[in-house]
Amino acid sequence: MNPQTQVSPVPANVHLILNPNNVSDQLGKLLERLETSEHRLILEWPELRESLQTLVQAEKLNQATLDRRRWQHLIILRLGKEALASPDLQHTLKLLADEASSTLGVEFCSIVQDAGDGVTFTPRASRSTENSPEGHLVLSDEQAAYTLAAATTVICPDLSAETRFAQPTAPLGLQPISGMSVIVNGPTRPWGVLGVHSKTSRNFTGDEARFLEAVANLMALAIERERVQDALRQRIRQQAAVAALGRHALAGPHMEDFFRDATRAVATTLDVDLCDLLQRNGDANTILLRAGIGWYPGLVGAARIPAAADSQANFVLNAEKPLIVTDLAAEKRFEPSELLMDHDVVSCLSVVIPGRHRPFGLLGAHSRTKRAFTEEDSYFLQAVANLLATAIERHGVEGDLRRHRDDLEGLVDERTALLAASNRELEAFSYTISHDLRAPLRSLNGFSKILQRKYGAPLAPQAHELLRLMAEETVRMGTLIEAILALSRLGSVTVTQVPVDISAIAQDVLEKLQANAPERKVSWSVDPGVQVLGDPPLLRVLLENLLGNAWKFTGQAADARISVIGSDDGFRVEDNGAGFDMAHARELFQPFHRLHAADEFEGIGIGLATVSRIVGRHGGKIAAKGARGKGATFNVTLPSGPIAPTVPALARVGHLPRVA
Amino acid sequence: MDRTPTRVLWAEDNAKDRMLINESIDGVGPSPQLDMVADGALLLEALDQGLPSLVVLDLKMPKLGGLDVLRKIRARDSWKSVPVTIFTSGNRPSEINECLALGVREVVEKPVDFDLFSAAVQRILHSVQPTLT
Repeated sequence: MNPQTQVSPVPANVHLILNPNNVSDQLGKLLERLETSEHRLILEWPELRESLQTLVQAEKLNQATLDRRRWQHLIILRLGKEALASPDLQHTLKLLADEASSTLGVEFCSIVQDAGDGVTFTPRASRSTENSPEGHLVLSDEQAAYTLAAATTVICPDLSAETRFAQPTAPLGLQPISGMSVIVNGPTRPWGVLGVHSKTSRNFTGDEARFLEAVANLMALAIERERVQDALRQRIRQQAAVAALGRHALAGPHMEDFFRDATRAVATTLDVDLCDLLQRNGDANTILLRAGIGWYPGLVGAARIPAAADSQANFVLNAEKPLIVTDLAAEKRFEPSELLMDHDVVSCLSVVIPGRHRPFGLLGAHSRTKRAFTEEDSYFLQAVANLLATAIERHGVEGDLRRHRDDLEGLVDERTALLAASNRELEAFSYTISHDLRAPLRSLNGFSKILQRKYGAPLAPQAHELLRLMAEETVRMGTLIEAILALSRLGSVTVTQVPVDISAIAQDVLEKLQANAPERKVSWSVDPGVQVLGDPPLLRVLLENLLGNAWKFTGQAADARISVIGSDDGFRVEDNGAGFDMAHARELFQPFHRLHAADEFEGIGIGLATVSRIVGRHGGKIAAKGARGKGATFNVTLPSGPIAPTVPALARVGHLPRVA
Repeated sequence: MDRTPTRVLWAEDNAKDRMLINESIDGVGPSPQLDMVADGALLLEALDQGLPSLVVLDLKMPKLGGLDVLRKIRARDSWKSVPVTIFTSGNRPSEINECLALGVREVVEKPVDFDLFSAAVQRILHSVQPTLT
């Protein structure tokens, strides 16, 4: 038997203890030891050797895969941290592209963003280890479109043999051999495509595909975060703009200023090229470009835009929600505004400016570059439109109010002037009457007395008596005229308000009454220190009348008494004279109304009317209390503060008491 | 210094009032010389002839009213020192205030009653101081 073929038992010092962490290494070492030991003849057993070697190889491969995965996981972890730490999306995309290409060992990596149609793409970031020309993109639109359409990761080992999508020619020396592309997702639809390409032939593994997908997801995360932050920032700007406009609106600006500021705020905040404020007018077929930003010179305030049935303006006016147009030229719902087309507008956003009865007009934001206006943008624009509506309404209301106020002020001025003129005329009239009526009375009086004195000798005593009565009547008529005129003047006289010593005036008036009738025995008393606010001459007239009446009507009293008594808000005059029937209390203050027969008490019936008018002009009140034969009390209350401003009515001024 | 007889220059447009004024001094003893004119313009002409001891003016007169006459008197240096009394009826407070502001001696309301009227006329005439020359 050939000893070399002799199979000896497994040596006792060979321990086959395998650590699961590193199987291939341990197997390798075992193989080494077997080869150098005295039992190496075992290795002469080719099948065993082969099996062991295969095992070792497989284990090594497994280990490498594991290591690579662990490494990729670590990279993804680190990238995730970095991607979310950077506030700059471009920086993040570039970093991810760098890491993806170096980790996968490829020359090219590029990220393209879907323009919105799934066919055209905008490069957002790329990385190339080659010295490639500016703008050179290895990930073609065709491949990106195919990737989106396939909705899965696309692995392409040999691009030259690719049949699923066309492969554009690349600059010399930059032609990739193999490539792989994955979808970068967005919140509602794919955002774009991430691709890696290699100049050497590569058959990308499932692991590598998973890794690239993980990088794409990180990109999606960073993009989404950026989008949310942008939206938030935009919203804050919009809110700030609305708040500022609101403040402006409350300040009651001129409408032109406010329109200009509002359109400027819209253009700035929405970052659009043009903004317009269109105002409806009486003409149903056009709408006026009332204010705006970005228009060719001479248009704002002058241009009339068609508003006929199929017009863009009419469409928005009748729509229930904001109009969002992404591509104006392709619009089918209405005839695109020629003015907008002339200004190369591509995308539009328009809202209605409401009005009280019908819309005031339209507010629009227009972009020369293609842009998808968002719902949030339309909310902002509507908010500005509503502010405009409020300001317009308020301006209108305030304008109305202002006009009303002006009218009223004008009316008051007019009336005041009329009143002043009327007062002047009345004054002139009243003094002319006084002058002209008294002159003949004076003559009558004088002539009758002269006749009596110089030529009276041959006259009978009765003739003398008649002449005397004639003279007396002229004096009475003169007094009557003066009283009437004084009463009528009270309506237009200006009432001053100063502290008036009622006690002093009353005392003085009573002393004069006593002096004029020394034969009368009247016991009178005046409270000391009675003071009111009022017009001194008018209050003297008032006291002369009240005390004169008291004096007169106590003429037949046995022990005549007259008192002036102070009260909280005025004073009262009491007497124990003839008094009056309370049933006629109201008539007391009517001019020329006499409760007593003329031959019983002299008088012309105008004293209390004058008193009442003086009290009225002071904003005060007078009340009479009495009983026939038991005296009378006149209670006068006057305001202690300023007299409420009352425009003396024309009627009152113009009304002259009629002589009954 | 000689005392010249006092002279009063009196403007009164109402003929009946002029009669009453004359009757007021008729038979009541010595009075200053009284020259009466029927309106303001005539009074100014009379002033040119020589200054009286006193000028009495009615306010309401045709052509030239008493207030206008008073203003002219006060505006001319040679006239402005002459004493002026207003004897009038039914005039506006504003006019009376202006007269007082222009330095008239007094404003006397013409009474209807002739006894009071003649008393007022006499008082005015006797308020005149003899003119110093």
